[in-house]
Amino acid sequence: MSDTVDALKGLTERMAELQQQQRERGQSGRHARMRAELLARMAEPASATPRLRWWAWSGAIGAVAAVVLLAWLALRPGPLTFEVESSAASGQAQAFLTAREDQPLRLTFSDGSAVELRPRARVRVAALRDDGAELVLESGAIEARIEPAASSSWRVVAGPYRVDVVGTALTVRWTPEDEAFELELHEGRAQVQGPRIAGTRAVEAGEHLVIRGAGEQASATVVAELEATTVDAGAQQPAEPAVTPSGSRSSARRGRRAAGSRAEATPDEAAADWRALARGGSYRAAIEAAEATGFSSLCAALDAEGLLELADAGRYARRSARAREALQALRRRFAGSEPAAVAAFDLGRLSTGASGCEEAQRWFRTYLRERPQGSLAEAARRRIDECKSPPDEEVEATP
Amino acid sequence: MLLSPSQPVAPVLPLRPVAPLLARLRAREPAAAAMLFDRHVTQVERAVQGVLGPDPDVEDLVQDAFVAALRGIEGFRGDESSLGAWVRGIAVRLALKKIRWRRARRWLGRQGSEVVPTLQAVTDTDTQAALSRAYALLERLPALERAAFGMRFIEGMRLEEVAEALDVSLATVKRRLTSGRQRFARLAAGDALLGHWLREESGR
Repeated sequence: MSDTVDALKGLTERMAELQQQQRERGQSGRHARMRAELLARMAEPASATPRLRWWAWSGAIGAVAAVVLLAWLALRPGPLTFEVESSAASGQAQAFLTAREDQPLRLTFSDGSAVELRPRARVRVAALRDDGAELVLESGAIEARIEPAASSSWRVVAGPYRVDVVGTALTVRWTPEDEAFELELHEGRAQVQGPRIAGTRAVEAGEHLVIRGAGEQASATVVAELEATTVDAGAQQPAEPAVTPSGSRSSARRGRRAAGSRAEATPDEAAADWRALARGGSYRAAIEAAEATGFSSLCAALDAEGLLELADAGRYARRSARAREALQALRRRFAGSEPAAVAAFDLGRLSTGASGCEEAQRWFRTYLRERPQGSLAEAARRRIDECKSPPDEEVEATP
Repeated sequence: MLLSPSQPVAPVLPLRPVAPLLARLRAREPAAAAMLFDRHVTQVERAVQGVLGPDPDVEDLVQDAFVAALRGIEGFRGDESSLGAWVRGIAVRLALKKIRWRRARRWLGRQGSEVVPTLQAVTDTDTQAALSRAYALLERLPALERAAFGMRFIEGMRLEEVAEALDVSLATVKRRLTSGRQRFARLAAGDALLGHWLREESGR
C-alpha cells in the first residue's frame, strides 16, 4: 500500500517538475509579452456588447418561454367543432340530432372527420375534445370517417358498448329494443368494450363484429370478411339491410371508397361531379348534376356499382323515378349479376308505399328467386309480409 | 561638518504621495495594471497549471483572468493584500469553465479527444508516456476534484489557498482531495501503461 502511495507521490512530483519546467522556460519573455498584451487590451474600449449577467440571461430565457407559451396558447387547435348539414349554426355538444326518416344527416367536424347518420338514427355529441369527440348513438346506424392523426381520441358509445377508434372508417348500428350491436370496420382499427365481450376486443379493418341482443342467442362474432357475415340486427330497421353480402350496396360503397381511383378512372368525366356531390351528402345536387350531364347516357355508361350509387343518390334525394331508372338500367345491362339482384330488392323498397304492395312484392320475390340464399333473402321475406300490414306502418325507402 | 546658521539649507522637498495600488487600478493607470500583473502572475499561472496541467491554453487563461480582474476592479471589496488571491480565484474559475466547456463539446461530439498536454520537456519516453496517461486520467475526475488534486498534490498549494481559489470551505476541499486521490489511484492502478510504470517506480 505504502509502495503505491509512494509511487503516486513520485508521479505527482514528476508532474510538478514538468509543470514547473514549463513555467520557467522563457518565463521573463513570456511574461513581458503577456503584460504588453494585457495593457493593450486594457486600452481597448470595452466590448460593445457587454456580457449579460445571470439575471439578464434568466430574464431573457423567461421572456422567450413566456412568448412560446403565449404562442402555444394562441395557436393550439382547441376543442373540435362540428357543423350539421343544412344548418347554418355550429353544432352544439349534448344536443340530440335525429336524421329524418327519408334522408341521412351529415355532421362535419373541424378536423375533417365526418359522421353520417343513417335515416332515423339518433345521435348525441357527448363531448368535443382537442383530439376527438365522443358520440352517443341512441339508436339506428351511423357511418363515420375519422381523420387519422398522431393522437386522436374518438369514441362511439352505443348502449352499453364503447368503440374507441383511431383514424378509421366504420359503421356502427345499435338497436336498443333488441340490444343488438354491430360494428363494421372498413379501415383502420378499433377497440370495443361491452357486455358479452371479455375485456377489450380489437377489431381490424375488414372485420364485422356482431353482438346479438338479449332476445336472441347471445353471441359476439368477428369474421374476417364482412361479406361472410350474416346477422339479423336490422330487425328494427326493416327498410335498411343491416349487413349485405358481396356485391351489395355497402360493400360496393366500401369498394368505391377504398379504391377511389376507380371513380377517377371512369371514362365519363362528368360522372365524377355527381359522384363527388353524392359522396359529400348533396344528393339533390348530385342528381341535378347527373341530369345536366345526361341521366340516360349515364345509365348507359356507368358500371354496376356506379348505377347502384346513382340509384342511392336518387333515393336519398327523394327522386324515386331517377332511382328506379338507374336500377332498371342496372338490371337490364347486368342481368343475372349480384348487383342486379340487389337492384331488384331496392326496386321493391322503392315500390313499397309508392306503387303499392303488389309491385313491391313482385320485386322482393324476384330477388328471392335470383338469390334464395342471399343475405337480403330474410329481409325480402319480411318485406313481403310487411306489405300485408296497414299502410301507416309501411316504411319508406331508406339507405 | 557642522552647518553654520548662515549657510543656506537646501529646501526639503515634500515626497509626492503615492496612491494605493487599488486606487490607481480603479483609475485605470497602465502602470498599476503592469504592477498587478508582475506581482501576481507567477502564482496565478501556477494555480491555472495546477488545474489544467501543462496545457496550451494556460497562457490565454492567465491573461483573461487579469483582464477580467482589471475590468471588474470596481467590484473588488477586499484590500490590496488579497488582490493576488482574488485574481487567482478568477483564473481558477475560468480554468474550471474551460474544463466543463471541453467536456460539453466532447459530449456533443464537437471535439474528438482531450487536449494533449505539452510534454516535450520530458526526455524519457517511458516517463513521457506515463505522464501523458496520468493527465488523461485526471481528465476523468470531476472538475472540482481534478482542480483540487492538481493544485494541492501537484503544485503543492496550501489547503487554505486551494479552498480560497475554489471558493469552497476547507472541509469541502479536504473531502474533494480524499475522493480525488482515491479515484485517481483506482484509475491509475487499472491503467495498463501507468500501472506498469508505477510498479516499476515503486520497485526501484
